[in-house]
Amino acid sequence: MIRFDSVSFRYRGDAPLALDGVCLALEAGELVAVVGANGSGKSTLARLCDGLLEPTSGSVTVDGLDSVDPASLWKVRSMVGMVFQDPDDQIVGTVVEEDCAFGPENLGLPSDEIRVRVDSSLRAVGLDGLERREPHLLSEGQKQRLAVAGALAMRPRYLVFDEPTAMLDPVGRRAVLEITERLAHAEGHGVLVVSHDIGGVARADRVIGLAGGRVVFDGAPEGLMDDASMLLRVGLSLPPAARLAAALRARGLDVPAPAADAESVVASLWR
Amino acid sequence: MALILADIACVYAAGTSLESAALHGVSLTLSRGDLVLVLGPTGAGKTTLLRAAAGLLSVSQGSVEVDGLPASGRGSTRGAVGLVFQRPESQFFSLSVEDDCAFGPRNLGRAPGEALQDAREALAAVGLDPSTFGPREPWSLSGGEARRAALAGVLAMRPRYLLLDEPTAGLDAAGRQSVCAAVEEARTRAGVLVVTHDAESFLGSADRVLVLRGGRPAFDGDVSALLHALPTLAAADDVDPPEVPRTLMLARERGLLPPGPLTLDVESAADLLAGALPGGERR
Repeated sequence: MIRFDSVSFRYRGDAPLALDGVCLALEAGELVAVVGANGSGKSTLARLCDGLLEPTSGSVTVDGLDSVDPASLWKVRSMVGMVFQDPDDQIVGTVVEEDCAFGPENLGLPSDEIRVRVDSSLRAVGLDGLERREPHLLSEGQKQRLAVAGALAMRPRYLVFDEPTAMLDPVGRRAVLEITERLAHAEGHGVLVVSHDIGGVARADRVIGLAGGRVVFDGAPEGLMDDASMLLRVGLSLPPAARLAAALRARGLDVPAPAADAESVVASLWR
Repeated sequence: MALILADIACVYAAGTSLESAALHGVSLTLSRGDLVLVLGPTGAGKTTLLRAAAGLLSVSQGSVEVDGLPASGRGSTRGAVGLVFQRPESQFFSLSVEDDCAFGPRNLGRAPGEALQDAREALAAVGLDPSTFGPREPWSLSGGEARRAALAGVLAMRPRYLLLDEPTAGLDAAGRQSVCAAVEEARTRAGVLVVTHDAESFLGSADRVLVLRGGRPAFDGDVSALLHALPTLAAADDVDPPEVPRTLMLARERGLLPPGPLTLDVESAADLLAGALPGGERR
């Protein structure tokens, strides 16, 4: 598990705390969404997961290994894959399969092992068949999936996504959200998704809400959807579907409170 | 007086093996006070259209005119069209917000004092109090504040037409709301063209919507016509329907609601559903 134990972080000696006493745990097979307004510390939290940033106080451990101990840092980084907002920032290869092979090649693995990893990673994100395609000819959604495949090829136990859908169109967004869900629930990775995307929040097993660097919500998405003031505090607005559900209740229809999307509203009317 | 794109086509890398047509047969008129939305999937040509409208890209067919003058080349009207790129806050370079915002008007040849006045007025217009935010370092702003400050930098040039590329991308709910309010204010001074995936934020107040698919217009009309065409556009993945009409579409697919018009309004949608379902009462 990735475990934060009273983690605080500041970027400079005189800067305010970006994270303040954060405790959390991410288990393998679990999909956790991290939400919070701009500037609440979400991306800082993501970068602490694999030792890209070092806690000012407290500790981050990955399967018991300290993320900043030089003796275990590289092991930690190999266990935690990171996918950032803009896939162009992390694509380096001239064709898709070469890009995906970059990480395992750097591990010095034999070429047949690299082949196996590249093929299975590209298959996992639905890019099989596009192995020889040049990355700049991919759509933004395909590029983001390639970034995911590149992380997967390192066989990480945990995956951390920082705003993976912010730059995608609806089709790309749905594809990436489906992949995050499958990686956690079908493939057993521990997946942490930092996002403003209410659709991604609704799919999560658990939501962690940040405000001013502190954890102000940790629970099931339904609990968050129910709580308009908490939604606002963590930078989300009450989903239109939830407003519609409330308007239907006011008209005597039995629509249960946590309604994140159109599907759940219609499903409750269908009963 | 308008920004007029007449039957334009844009081709990248013309005459090479990489030649690709990004736009074909697209027309659009933007008048002062208008809010025109351009929707469509990634790669549909939305950003190319913005660049052509700003005169940054020469068109291979058709014409782009700003108040009767060509948008690019000799005799074009400098400063009439303001373009705000995606993630414009990455372009801050001054040590204070007001100095950053004054850069554009200074470059248009305005005196430093006048440029600063323009910058402060533009900051106020996007809801950032110039006495508080003017002296701040741009990097100390929150996401929504930074996006609005970048927008102010373009408004300070007093453009008659304002072009915005994905102005709400990556912002939280409060940031999106503040940007929408800034767009409404900008509309009192200029015609505004917004390219976005975020139909939810802007559809309620748009005058006209253009949907692009593969560089060609897939839809062109007002919001009520768009709502009429929404099921078809959604089925082709051209537009992600906002949640309220999407709920009505799903309810119709399942036979819960008879065929009829769609709406963006929560209360009218609730009335439609309540009227059609047993146990529901209209308000």
